Amino acid sequence: MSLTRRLTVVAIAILGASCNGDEVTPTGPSVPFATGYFTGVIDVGGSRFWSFKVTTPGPVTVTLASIVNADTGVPLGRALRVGVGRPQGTGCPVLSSAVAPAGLVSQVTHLAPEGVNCVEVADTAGTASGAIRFALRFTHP
Amino acid sequence: MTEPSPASDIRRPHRGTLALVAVLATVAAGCGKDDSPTTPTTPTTTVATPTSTEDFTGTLPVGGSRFYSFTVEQNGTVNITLTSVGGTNVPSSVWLGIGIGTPNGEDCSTSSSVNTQSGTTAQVTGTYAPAIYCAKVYDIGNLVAPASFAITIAHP
Repeated sequence: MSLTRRLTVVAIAILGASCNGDEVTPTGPSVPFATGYFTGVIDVGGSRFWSFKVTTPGPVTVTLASIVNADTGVPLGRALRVGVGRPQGTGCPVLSSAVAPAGLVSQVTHLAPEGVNCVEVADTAGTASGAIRFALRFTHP
Repeated sequence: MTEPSPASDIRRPHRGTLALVAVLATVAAGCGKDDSPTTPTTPTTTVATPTSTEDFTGTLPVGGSRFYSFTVEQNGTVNITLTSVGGTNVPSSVWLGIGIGTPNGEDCSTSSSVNTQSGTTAQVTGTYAPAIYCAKVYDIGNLVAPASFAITIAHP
């Protein structure tokens, strides 16, 4: 190959490469997850919710970590409904939910949109003998 | 023996060289996609008028608050009107606080609020982007008994 042809190949390669500046695949920063805790007391058949802001769409996980009798502190084996939704009106209509007893692993995972979302805990059975103290942990982007 | 003529010292461009120049010019021209700057246009944001009305009624405890969440679908005007207050030992002219904000925790974090009596004209109004907001009513220390209230929320 002559010197001229070699130079031609090199020059075209360099110029061609310089034209691809906007084809670089962007690598976004990793999304930090926040952990929230929601504790309180619900009456028999009652419910409560907690609103929080999701900064980028992603999974929200909810773990009902503890259920005890509000008066005695005795752990309860009963199940409560926990869920994730978006605040509307005076409540938090849940879009994903589970009826589960307290546990160590998340009972609900919900792909939440950006913006305000909420987690709710409810005594849907309404058969408790008294008020229930709960502890709920949730993570979100 | 032939003497080299003076003309042969002036080297003419080789065909290959001419082709190289042409190719480089063509490739380089392809890179010039942003050589003519354009004036950026300022995006215009439309402010929509309210298209939905939601009624928020309830009972406000002494020293307490209540809030109601709603969704603004498009950028536009939100009007919140405390239309009535009443109840036993609660004069209809009592002053309460009302505001607009964002649901946060178990409350509504207000970004705009006023102390007002009930009326027919919106006491809280503003332009808001699409998102979830909340309207809040609260006792500012005037209640001696729980008050029934009615609030109208108009939003796009």
